[in-house]
Amino acid sequence: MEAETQELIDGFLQVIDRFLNANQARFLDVGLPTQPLRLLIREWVMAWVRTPEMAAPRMTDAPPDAFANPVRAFVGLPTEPATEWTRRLWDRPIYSDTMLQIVPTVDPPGIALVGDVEASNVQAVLRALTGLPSSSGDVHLDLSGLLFCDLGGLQAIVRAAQALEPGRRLVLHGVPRQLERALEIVDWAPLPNLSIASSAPGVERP
Amino acid sequence: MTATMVTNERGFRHEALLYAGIDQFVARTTPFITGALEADEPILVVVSRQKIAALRTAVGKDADRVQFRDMSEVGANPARIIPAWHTFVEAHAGEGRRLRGIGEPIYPERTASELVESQRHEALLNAAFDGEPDFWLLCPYNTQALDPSVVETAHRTHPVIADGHGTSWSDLYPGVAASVAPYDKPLPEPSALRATLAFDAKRLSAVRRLVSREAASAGFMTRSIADLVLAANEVATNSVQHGGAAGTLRIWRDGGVLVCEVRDRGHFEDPLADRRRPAPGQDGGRGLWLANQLCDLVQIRSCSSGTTVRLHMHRDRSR
Repeated sequence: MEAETQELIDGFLQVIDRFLNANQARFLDVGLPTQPLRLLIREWVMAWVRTPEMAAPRMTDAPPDAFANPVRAFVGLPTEPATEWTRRLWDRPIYSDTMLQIVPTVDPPGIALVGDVEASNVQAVLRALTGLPSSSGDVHLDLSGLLFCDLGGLQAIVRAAQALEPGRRLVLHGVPRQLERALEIVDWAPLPNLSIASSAPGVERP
Repeated sequence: MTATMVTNERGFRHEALLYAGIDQFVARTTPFITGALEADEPILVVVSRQKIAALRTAVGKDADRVQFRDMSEVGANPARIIPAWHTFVEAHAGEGRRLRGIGEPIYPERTASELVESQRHEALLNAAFDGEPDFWLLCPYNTQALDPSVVETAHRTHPVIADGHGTSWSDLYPGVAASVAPYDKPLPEPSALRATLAFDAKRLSAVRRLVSREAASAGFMTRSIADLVLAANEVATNSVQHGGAAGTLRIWRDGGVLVCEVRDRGHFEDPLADRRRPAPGQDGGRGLWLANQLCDLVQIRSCSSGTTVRLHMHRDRSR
């Protein structure tokens, strides 16, 4: 096996491992022990690589996205079509704990929140949001990997938007429906410097 | 006409109107509505759909100048009624006109828990609009359909009572301060618990998972699960941030209702905290407001030894 392919497989499996570790409790909740799942995925990847007619796998920045939707279903949030809102730099995480990863994104520039935002990690979210690039233009926040966000997290997002100089906006991508409702209920939705991008990247709701 | 006849004073006038049956209801509320229209006073009527239809017929062509809202939508959770009145009062602020309202939050279809919270709501109204510019709120009570003890409680929660023959001060009304005194009457204990979990700041995710699992196994729709998880997480977060850093979650079923209870050692100062619309610039303090908007009923009991918050969610939510 070529070294490059081996490296690719290892990287792929590592990301899956990381995801399964972070979400072990969720899987267990619905009766899925993660160890057999891990072995199954490893076997499947190996079988796939050995298949001669298979083309080389396409490199992607965010493999865990493929798993974001089923997990969202577990916690009872509406499933949405998997869309890549931003290009995530997984290898340069800003913050990581057992339930949340904050990763920088390029194209458009900003950050992605993946997992749960709650009281224990809201300070990290606040720090990441205040440390956003200070250059001109809009700042983008990819929430398509968000599984849960409490009001403290929502407040951190709103305050970050308000802290931007006039004319710049914080653009939210892939906002879970639940979060959008919470924004409306607490009267935070109509803020001049906070904008919610619609289902297609680049198109924004009026 | 007796010596205790109440004249139209200024300020907030919170009046219970006793009636027996729909015909008396219409006969006793219609003059109040037409009186408002004649005096060009804005009026909002929040009653059942059936009563709205009857009042539209009775008032006739001028009914379009009356705002009507369905109490089963506005006040399904009685804690949402005061914000609705606030919106009405604010919309007419500074106009210099007296405002009128009719609100019937207490009706026979209320469950025992809903009734208790509706009575609490009636008491809190006295503080919520104390000192407001002229607002005359009439609360009809159907003596034919309600238990006599419920009608007696109306005398405790309303300073003014009307019965179709006259209007008088209630002898049982304890005043504004006593109306909002801490509500520490104990809640009934559940017969069978589904789950109990002691939590602290590190175990909020366990709170969410347990609520999610119980709601799912009770057959809730995904949106209701997500709503309940969000509300329970906020209440539990209050416990770890303001309620002694820890709390206890208990979950049980009561017919088609799932109840999530959070207890902690904290204490609530402001009895109207959960029904004041949060200002956009305010930091924190939105958890209970959100819980009231998301849940079918929220029960709060607070005294010096601790606070209990119960979130009720119906399995079959059409509202």
